[in-house]
Formats: sequence, C-alpha cells, structure tokens
Amino acid sequence: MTTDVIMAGFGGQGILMIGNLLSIAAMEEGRHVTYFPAYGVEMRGGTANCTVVLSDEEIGSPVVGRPRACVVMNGPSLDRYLPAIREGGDLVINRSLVDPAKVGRKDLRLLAIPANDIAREVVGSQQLASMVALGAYVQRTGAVRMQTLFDCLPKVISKKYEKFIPLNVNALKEGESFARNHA
Amino acid sequence: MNERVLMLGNEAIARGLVESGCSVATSYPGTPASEILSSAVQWRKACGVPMHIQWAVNEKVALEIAYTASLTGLRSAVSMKQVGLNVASDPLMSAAYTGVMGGFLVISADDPGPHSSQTEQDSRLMAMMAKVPVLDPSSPAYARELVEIGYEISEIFRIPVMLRPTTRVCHACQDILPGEVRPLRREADFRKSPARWAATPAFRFELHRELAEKLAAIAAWPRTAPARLNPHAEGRRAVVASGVAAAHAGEILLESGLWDRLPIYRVVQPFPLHTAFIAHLFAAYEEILVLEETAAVIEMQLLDRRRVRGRMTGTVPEAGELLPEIVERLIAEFAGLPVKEESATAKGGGRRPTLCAGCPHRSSFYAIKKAAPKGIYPSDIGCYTLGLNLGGVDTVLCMGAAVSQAAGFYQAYRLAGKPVDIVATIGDSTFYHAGVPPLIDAVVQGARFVLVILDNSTTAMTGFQATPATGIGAANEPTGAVDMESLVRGCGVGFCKVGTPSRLPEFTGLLKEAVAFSHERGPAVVIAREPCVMDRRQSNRLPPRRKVRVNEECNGCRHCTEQFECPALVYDEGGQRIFVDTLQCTGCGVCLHVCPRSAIVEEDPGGGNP
Repeated sequence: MTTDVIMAGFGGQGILMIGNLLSIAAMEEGRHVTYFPAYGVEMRGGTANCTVVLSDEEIGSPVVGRPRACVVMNGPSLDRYLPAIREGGDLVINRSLVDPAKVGRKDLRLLAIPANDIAREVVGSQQLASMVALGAYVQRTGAVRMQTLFDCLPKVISKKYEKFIPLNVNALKEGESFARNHA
Repeated sequence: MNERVLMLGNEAIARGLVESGCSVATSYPGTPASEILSSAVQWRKACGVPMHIQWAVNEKVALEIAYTASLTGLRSAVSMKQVGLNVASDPLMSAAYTGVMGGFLVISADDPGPHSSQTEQDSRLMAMMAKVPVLDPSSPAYARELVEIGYEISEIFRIPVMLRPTTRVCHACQDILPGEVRPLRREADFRKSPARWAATPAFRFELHRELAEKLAAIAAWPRTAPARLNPHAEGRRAVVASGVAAAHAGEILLESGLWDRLPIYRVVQPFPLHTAFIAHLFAAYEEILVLEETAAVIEMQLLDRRRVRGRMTGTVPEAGELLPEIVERLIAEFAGLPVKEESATAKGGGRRPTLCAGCPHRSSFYAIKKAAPKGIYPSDIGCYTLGLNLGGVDTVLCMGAAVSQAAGFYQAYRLAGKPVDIVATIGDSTFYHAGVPPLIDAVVQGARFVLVILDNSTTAMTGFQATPATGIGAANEPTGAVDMESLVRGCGVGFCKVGTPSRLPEFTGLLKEAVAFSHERGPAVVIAREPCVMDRRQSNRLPPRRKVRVNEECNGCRHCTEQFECPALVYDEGGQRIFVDTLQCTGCGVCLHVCPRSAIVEEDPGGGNP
C-alpha cells in the first residue's frame, strides 16, 4: 500500500517537524518512506511545506503532483493545494486560520479542526497546533499507528526540549480525539 | 550500522563518499549541494575515518585541491552547485585530458526549476564538453550507490567522473540502509610524469585521442548500461528517462495502466550513452520519448531525429522542472491516452522574498540610497540580492561581478563624459570567492566607484558556512584567517574603512565620504561589518537590542514599509498606520532613524506606556 500527504503552512508552524515525525514513524513500522521538505527563500514568516510518501515497496519519486491527502495549516496553502488533491482524497484544515467555506470541493473527505485553539486552550501551547493536526490526520487516514508517533517523538525533539514530549503526546491525542468525534 | 536511517540525498552522497574510502573532500557552498560537505564531516566523525574535508575559497580552487589528491592515488571528491561548475570548468576541461590516478568525483548539483539559482543549466552538458562520463541518480539511495560506481569507472578508465544530482535528489529524504565503510588504507604516492601532468600542446593531442578511446570503452561498460524497468512490456514505442524524471515516469506508468504496454528505460549514465543501447532503441522502436532534466543530453545522442521526441522537438517544454503532472501529460500524449485537464497546483501564496527583520544589509542598502540617491547599484550573489526589493540592487550577474560591473558602468559613463555615482555591494564570502581579481583590475584602471563589502562574517544564505576570515573550518576546527582590510589595502585600494550599518547616521556619513573619494581617486571600499541576526554563533556580537514602538505621530505615509521594508513594520489597513510586530522585531533599532516624522520611538527602558 502507498499513501502520500502534503503538509503546508507558515514557516515556524512546525510543518517540517510533523512531516519528519510521520516519516520516522513509518520507517519504524518497517515501511519505505520519502520526505521532501521545502521552504521559501523568504525566510522566517514565509511558507513551508513538505511531502511524505509511505509505501510497502521502494518509492520511486519523492515529489507528488496530485496528493492523496493534504494537511493545510494556513490560508495561502489552501489556495495553493486545494486544486491538486486527488478526487476523494483527505483534507485536514486548520480551522483556526483557514475558512472551511473556502473549500469548494465536495468530493473530499474534509476535516476542519481548530488546531490553534485546541493547542492553546486544551494542550496549553499554541506552538503545538501542527501536532494536533498530525494527530487528526493520522486518526483519519491510519497512515501509521498513534503509538508509533508517540514512541518516535524523542527522535525528532532535541534533548534540550525533551521535557516537552508529554505535551506533544497530549497534542497528538487531542487531534486524534477531535478527528474521532468528527468522523 | 544495520538500521535504516532517514537520510537527506546530500547525506546519502556523503555517506557514499565515506563508505568508498574518499580521502579528500572539498566544496564551496551553494544550494542544493551545500549539505554534502557538512554531512561528510558528520559521517567522518561517526565512522572514525581519516579524511581531509574543507570549504575552499571557490569552486575552482576546490576542484584543483581534490583533483590533485587523486594524482597521489587517493580517492577524492569535489562538490558544488551547477553554477559553481562554471567557475571550476577551467581545471575540469584540462583534468579530463590528463586523467586521474585515485578515483576522482566531481559532484555538481543541478537546480531545475530553478528553485534557488541564476540558471537551470545542465551540468551533464559540461560533462559532455569536458568529455567525462556523468551519472544521473534518480533517488537519494541510488545517489549513494552511484558514488562507489563512479569511483570504479574513474579508477578503471583513469578519468574524472561527474555525479549530477538535482534538487529533488539532494533535498529529498529517504529511508536508507547505510553500507559498510571500506577504508582503502592508501598513502599519497605521486609518480612523476611531466609528459602527462604538465603536458605540452603536442602531447595534449595524444591525451585527447586517449580520452576518446576511454569514452568509447565507457559507452560499453555494462554496469552503467540503461535498465529496462518493465521487461515484459511490448510495444513499438518506448520511454527513455533519467534522473528524477525516470522515477516520476515509472510511477505514472504503473498508475495509468501503461506499465505492461509501454517499455521504459532508465538511463543512469546519460553521457556517454551506451552505444549498444542506441542501436537497440532504433532496432526495436518506431518512436522514442526522452524525459530528462534539463537539457537534451540523451536526446542529442539519439541521432535519428525522425523517431525521437523530447526537448529538441518541442514535445517536452524547453524550460522548467519535469514535475510529475508534466510527465503525466507527456506520457499520456505519447501513448495516445486522453490528457487530463490541467489541475496544476496554483503558484503563489506567501509573501515576496525580503531580508529578515533586523538584517544589517537592510540598513546598508538604506544608507546607500541616502548617500548616492541617483547612483547605479551593481550587486552580487547572496542574501543581499533581496535588496532589489529595497531599490538597492540594479544588477546581479554572477559571483564577483558586482565589482567588475561597477568598473564597466564607470568606463561606459566616462566615455560619455557623464560621471555617475556607482555603489556596488558584495557579501564577504562572495568577495573572497571572485571579488578580489576585479578589485585589483579596478585599482589598475582607476575605476571610480564605491564597493560596499557586506561583511556579516558568514556565508548566510547557504547555511552559515565559515568564510576565509572566520578562522574555523568545516568541522569547526581552528584554521588560518585572512584579514579583510589588509587584503583590500593590499589590492592597492586607497580608501578602506569599516562601519557598522545599524548605526545608520554615522554609516550614511561614511558612505558619503567614500562616494566623495571615489569621485576624485578611484575605487573606495567600505566594509559594512555586523553579524547576521540569524547566525547563533555570532549572537554575542550583536549590538545592544532596543525596544521600539510607533507613536501617534505616524500618519501612515508608509515610507518605512516601502523604503526600508522591514517585515516587523506592518501597515494596519484599518487604523491606517504602522505598528511593530513584536514577534518579528529583533530590536536592531535602525528604524528609529528611518521615519520622516520620527514616529518610531524607543520604549522607555523602564517599560513605560505603550
């Protein structure tokens, strides 16, 4: 089985972090993976996106023109990627910053999650909005097991920030439970 | 190591170098190649192998150092971005003739798109011109394998070998099982042979003939022959693809149901293309579609023009990256399938590129515009190219050209009898790379301009590599250092002063002084010295931080957002005035001097009323 996802938002929202975490988790589960991070030349406050491909077989191309799923964390990224998602694909949008009314397409499996609000009000740190979104994406698609994500957090969070791992676990769980309740 | 690792393409290439016993690795930073050398440092440490790894002052010097190590029998490699290969082309052309002893790899990373380069040029064409073989990996894992294969070709045929990854290989991560490190335990052993290593033109002719024989043999070497990806497929048409385009094409054939009907070949050695393969293609197929980035290197070696479709026939777009959606359309057209409506991903989004908040270059450009408001502003390659949005950059050509272009403008206007102020900008790393020879030339010719060296003491745009003045090496080891002022004065420049751009009024005064000098006496150099705000290693050298706010004097004239363009100064459409985005503001305090109404003020140190 092969699946892929493009994750996109502002630089600094943690897009590359969640892409990396998803990739490492898939690898941990014995699958092949490619991860292509891209960020604009405009530096801080610019755009960031990444493409993750997970497969049971060796992956040919790390670049995906028509993704099976998108996680969209800000408005400009919705404009950019909405037309590209495959028919019937999954779209997770961060409702705190992206207006669900702008998703004109009816063929997608849309999940609009207030990721910033959940991160700020429930988890306790707005910086974890992307983790909330990742939890929702993984619950919705089953791309990897949630437990593997938890287990792999120490591999993507530097020793210096180790103490925030439980907070990241909470963020993933909150995203997961939101997705489950809005299936 | 027996566990798969998520490896960046550049890390995978570096891993290949260490596994294959590379002893000397050199580079000059440039996207998308920069991480090859820094990863080699990491793998050297992790594997405990002896290697000399260094950043060189430019790509030419880097290539010459690595090449010469190969003459002593060691394996070596030089890495660079594609435009860097232009700089290194002189020794490359010659090294192809003289040949190698130990394996020698030239890794030149191309940037179809382009994502972060001046051109989309194809290094494989440079390999053709030099007459050296080139390998074109389609993934990070394959790039790692091709390092060893490249060394084998290089040592069997005694020839430099080019490895040509593209951005999509260099910057993709893939799960890779690292291989065994095989130290070669060779020692430098230079065998003198002046007829070869210092060949005169008469012997160069012989070397050229020898080179042709090597290439003919390499075009028959089985290990790099093109691979048929779907041997069972039958048809009178075939796709021939290399690099990432081959990866896209394979997946598209699988998804579109063409896998069993459309034969596809992956070419790993685009030059010299295997002779038997060319014969086979024309014997077996009526029509051939060639997919490659970015020039028609494979295509032009397929000489029957009536049967080949590609860039030269206009079938494949002349410019730009072969993205999956483009390959999908090309294959559908070629196979006679209905072509899907273009649902290309919309471009755009984000904001236009600009210098970071707090960047010292911003104050330099602002001061330049004040000191020479009617001037011509040649500039160069680096972060400061973004000064074009501030109106401080009129030309960008190639590394070091700011200095020679300043001289060119001077001579042209001098002939017309219409003197003009010329203020050129160049970064510190770029100045060392290619700015010194044109400065010498300007002194000799008495060219009258001001050169501002934007000295942030790092190579910022490519990820904070050291410069020759930093005194630290690729592995943070102490190295010698060059003193910039002495170098400038040593070139014969009569005016060389150092200023701090964030002290805007003084710095503007200094520039005016330099402009006045240049009117009378030839080139003047101002060194704008202040650390990059993003470089953590230099954070202790930043000037004191200041907290600023905008007071009620602001009338929304937008002078600051248009002429200074700091991302931390934001125009509020509702209130029709400026506010300071405190998340972005770094507290450089330069904007205090920018507002014509002095509405940007420093907060009371005690944190008074906002």
